[in-house]
Amino acid sequence: MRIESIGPQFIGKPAEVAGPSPAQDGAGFGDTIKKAVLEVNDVQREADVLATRLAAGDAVEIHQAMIAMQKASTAFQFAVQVRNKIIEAYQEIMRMQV
Amino acid sequence: MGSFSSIDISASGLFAQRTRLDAIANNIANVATTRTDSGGPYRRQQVVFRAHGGPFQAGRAGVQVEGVTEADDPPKVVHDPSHPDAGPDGNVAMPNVNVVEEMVDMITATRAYEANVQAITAARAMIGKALEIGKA
Repeated sequence: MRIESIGPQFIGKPAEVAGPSPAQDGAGFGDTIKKAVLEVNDVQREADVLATRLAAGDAVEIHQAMIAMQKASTAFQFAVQVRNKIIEAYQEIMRMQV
Repeated sequence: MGSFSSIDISASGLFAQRTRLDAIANNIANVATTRTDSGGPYRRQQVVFRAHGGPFQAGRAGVQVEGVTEADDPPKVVHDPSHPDAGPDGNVAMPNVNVVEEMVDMITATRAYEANVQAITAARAMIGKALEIGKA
């Protein structure tokens, strides 16, 4: 029985192999992550500003500050979950037998 | 803002009830005020609310403070000739504020505020549950 070597049927057409295609719509994965992180940062900063203004005695309702902080914490928790998923996928690939 | 819209709606309710409590506090503070900028005794003030943006649509709802109206029931007339604002007949026009009514309004405002906080807590719990979807 003859075992075929890896022939042109496998490596013949490198042009068709889809490399990392940085997005037909212009936004790659990195951009998306960056945008998400910036958004979380914005929410955090808003909460920070409100808390500072409340402490400084400005006309800010306590519930406004509390809700802003809650939103910030929720957004951050979501970001952490996304990060966990990414790490999980990365480790899954690293464990792959080659 | 998607996930946070119910929190925003409840926040508008919190603000509305806080405004209402402000009006109640103002009424109680002025329970014996006989002089105002518009002349005459203080008149009981009520906050009027309006639903935000017509029929309910997800992401665009809530309550807003429409304005403050003055109750037009007549002032309480008290016979007190020694009062500086007493008329020639010794009667004083006192504000049409009833402290007992204000107390009842205060209770309902407090409870409504609590209900809105409870709604926020429920929304938070929902979001927290949604975040658990990601966990193994």
